[in-house]
Amino acid sequence: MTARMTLRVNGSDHDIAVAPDTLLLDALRYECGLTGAKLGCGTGDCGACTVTVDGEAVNSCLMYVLECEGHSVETVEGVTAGGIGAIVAEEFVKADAVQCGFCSPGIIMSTCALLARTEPGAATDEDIKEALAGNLCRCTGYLPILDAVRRASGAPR
Amino acid sequence: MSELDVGGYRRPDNLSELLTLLDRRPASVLAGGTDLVVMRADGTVDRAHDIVDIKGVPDLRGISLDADGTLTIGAATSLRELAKTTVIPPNAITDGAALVGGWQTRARGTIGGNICRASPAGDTLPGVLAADAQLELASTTGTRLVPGHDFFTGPGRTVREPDELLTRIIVPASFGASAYLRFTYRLAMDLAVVGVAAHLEIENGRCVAARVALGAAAATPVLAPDAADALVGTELDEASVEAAAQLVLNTATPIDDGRGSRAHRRTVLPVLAKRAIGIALERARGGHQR
Ligand SMILES: Cc1cc2nc3c(=O)[nH]c(=O)nc-3n(C[C@H](O)[C@H](O)[C@H](O)COP(=O)(O)OP(=O)(O)OC[C@H]3O[C@@H](n4cnc5c(N)ncnc54)[C@H](O)[C@@H]3O)c2cc1C
Ligand code: FES
Ligand code: FES
Repeated sequence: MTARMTLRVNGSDHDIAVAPDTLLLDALRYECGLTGAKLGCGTGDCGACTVTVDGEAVNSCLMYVLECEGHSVETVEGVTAGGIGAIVAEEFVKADAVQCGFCSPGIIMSTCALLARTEPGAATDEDIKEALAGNLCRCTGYLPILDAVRRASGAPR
Repeated sequence: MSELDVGGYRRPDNLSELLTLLDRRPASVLAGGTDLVVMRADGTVDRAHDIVDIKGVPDLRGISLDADGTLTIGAATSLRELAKTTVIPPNAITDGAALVGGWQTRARGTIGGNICRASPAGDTLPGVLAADAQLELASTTGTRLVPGHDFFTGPGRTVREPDELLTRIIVPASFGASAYLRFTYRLAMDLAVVGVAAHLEIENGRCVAARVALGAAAATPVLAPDAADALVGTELDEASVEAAAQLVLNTATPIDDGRGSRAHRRTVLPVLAKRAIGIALERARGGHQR
């Protein structure tokens, strides 16, 4: 059974056809053409599909898109278009925190959610590790990632 | 938020509507979905069941402390909110909430979902037992209270009927303090190999009441009465705590599985119990009291 709903992503409304079990991740990728969020595990373990809903980092593989009706979704395409998200992306490149890049969109989304809830420069290493523990990097470049997040956290916003 | 009605997915905005939906057709309660979405996808839960999303009912969320000290937690309260709450001092239940999965899991996952999933390794469950919490179940025909220690009947199984909703977790007032610790191989995103929650009440330097609960040590979370009884009446000095902690093994019946062997679990349990009792004691003495 399919129905139509309005999904608000990165400030734009998408009128899309969905089924009860359509995942937010699949709706973003196949209905909205936003392929930044990645399917890694599909079980909530890797964080590659991380987006924000009303500013909170969530796994889009563990949510039905229908749960998002009336809420606001942000993806890596949206947050890196300007502001602190663009600074985060730039710091990831500068710190060589991107290897194959598969985990990067999810990690950038978790980072942006963390920076949105902390004052500039206030995020401790503990805060960063807590925020990113749900994001795995198969290329295991964790130290440059930590470095990039530290630098972005210090940036004025 | 109004009721969304897309054949098979419903999001009612009030409790009576929600209970009617659970009564009407086979339905699965959707809270944070961190378990349910995967269970529907792999067929553990029948995909033909309607999805009844409970997040549109505001009464099911939030943490409140009554004037008499009774704590009430709405079943759809997120684990993140519980982990970060300042309404109550850190205790076994909030310790457990803070350990579940990663940030993303806790942002969506709820305490009601953790309890109803009834995993033997569920991180808030030993705290629910140690706190002597009551679980409120509601259906169109009425409401009943089930003590936490009577709720779980096996891995993934509880006394909840399909048409019943877990609405609130009610923790009776006490002047005690509690703590939960688990053993894992990785600090985050790993399920408990074993876990221990301890609750202590102290009067004039002496333990007057205690409860110890174990996770991943049996088919359900269990109370360890021998360990608790051995604490009562002592001054909680190192020797009494050590001796009591050993007695958790009278209750633990862990299994061998991919996460750990039975022997390893039996080695770790008393050590964890001793530490959990130690943290509860520090909290009790630090004036973190309710
Ligand atoms: C990556 C990952 C890591 C995890 N790590 C841990 C961990 O470390 N520790 C741990 O304990 N768990 C862990 N979990 C499991 C899960 O996140 C928790 O069990 C969570 O608390 C479930 O809550 P939920 O709201 O998402 O439940 P849901 O998935 O929405 O529901 C779970 C079950 O309970 C039922 N249900 C939910 N709410 C109610 C209610 N109010 N009344 C009646 N029935 C209800 C549902 O129908 C379903 O059967 C992990 C999960 C993932 C994906
Ligand atoms: S794809 Fe969602 S967490 Fe791995
Ligand atoms: S850069 Fe390859 S998975 Fe992280």
